[in-house]
Amino acid sequence: MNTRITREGDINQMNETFYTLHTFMLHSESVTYFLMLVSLLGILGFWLFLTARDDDHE
Amino acid sequence: MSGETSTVKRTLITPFNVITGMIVLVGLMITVLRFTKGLGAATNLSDYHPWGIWIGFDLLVGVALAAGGYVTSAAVYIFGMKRYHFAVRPAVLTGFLGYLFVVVALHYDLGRPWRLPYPFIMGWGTTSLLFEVGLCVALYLTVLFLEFSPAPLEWLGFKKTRNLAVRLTMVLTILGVVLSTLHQSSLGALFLIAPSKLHPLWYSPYLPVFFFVSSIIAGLSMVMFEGMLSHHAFHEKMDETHLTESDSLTIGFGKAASLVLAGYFTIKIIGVAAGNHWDLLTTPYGIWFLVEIIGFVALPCFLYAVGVRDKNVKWIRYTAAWTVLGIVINRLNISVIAFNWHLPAADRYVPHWMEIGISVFIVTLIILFYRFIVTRMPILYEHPDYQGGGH
Repeated sequence: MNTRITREGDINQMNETFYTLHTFMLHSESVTYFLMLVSLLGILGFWLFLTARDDDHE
Repeated sequence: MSGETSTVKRTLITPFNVITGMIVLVGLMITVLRFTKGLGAATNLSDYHPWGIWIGFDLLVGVALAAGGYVTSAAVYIFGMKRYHFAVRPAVLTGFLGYLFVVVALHYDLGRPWRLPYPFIMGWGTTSLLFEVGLCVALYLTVLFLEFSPAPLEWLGFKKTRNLAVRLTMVLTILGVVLSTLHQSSLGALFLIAPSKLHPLWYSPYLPVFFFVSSIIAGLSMVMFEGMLSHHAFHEKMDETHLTESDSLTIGFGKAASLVLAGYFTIKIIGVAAGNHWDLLTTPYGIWFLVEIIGFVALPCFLYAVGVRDKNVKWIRYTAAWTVLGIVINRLNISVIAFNWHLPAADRYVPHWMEIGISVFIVTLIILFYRFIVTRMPILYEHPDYQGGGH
């Protein structure tokens, strides 16, 4: 794993250093929430693609 | 008389019988060796790798692929998709045989078969996930046996007992869904104890969710894949409903599988994001992870969607086979390939040929039992005495 403790309490991951658990959580949770939003829109679009030729649409 | 004997000889010596006969013979010899000489004589298991392919393939893959039973029963009896009713019996039979042989295969790993009921008799390990899995599998195997029982009872002509068993259908379906939700997810939760051993791309606090969601995909795909094989092997055993409605089932299940795969792909990516493991995607293990996620999750998701839009049944069935392979790869990745990933090559686990032999033996036994039952009992057709009976 590329995650390593560089100093006591510091987490180096993805060439970024997170000095506290708070900054790490803030970063990863922000990315996660953004991806969730994109996924919800993506799955909506995928549902429209999947059902576009259903009999009840014709 | 001699003419009759030669006819019997001709029908017995078929390529199928010869190959399965040889596999069964070798399997029995390895079984004797394993139970008389111990794990060391038949496996490459070690203290680093106490779980090999007998757990990774026979148990984890077996349980996932047997999910077709609860998925199909839930679709028909809980979600009211009565048009798929004809698919319940083959799916329940596959589930029943799958779980039955998961328990058989477990004996090879555990040894001392007479001690299998110990956790339920000697002491309830209520804080153990493994106990929960064991209890759920034992209960669900009983549920599957009862769900399957109308078929042999119709075959044997026990009308009253059969009618009693049919009346239990709804209760058994609900129990089946509850128990499957519990143990399918718990099998993933077993690996939560090993964050330092399982590669971070596969390890996630969401492992129970991943296992449960992927079991739905496995169940849907396995019903379609098994349907394809049954159409080739037992075409003459199928009634009109099976022959005419199977295309509609394939399109319906293909659509469901596509949507669940899209959701599964999303939560797998969110799993990477939650651990902030993006940098690992460029490592060799990361590339293998991408092969799994793109090749065996995103690709079949898209292929299913294309097949459903074009109503291309053959395309959907081939995609189902590809997805089943993806489930096998996923479970082996978690239990074997990405497990103890940091160990030097010399300490890594490579299954012994006898371990593979037993896994092939178990799969062969499932096929033989399935063939035996399907050619005798009303699985792919409705028994003439019970037509329109609602089961």
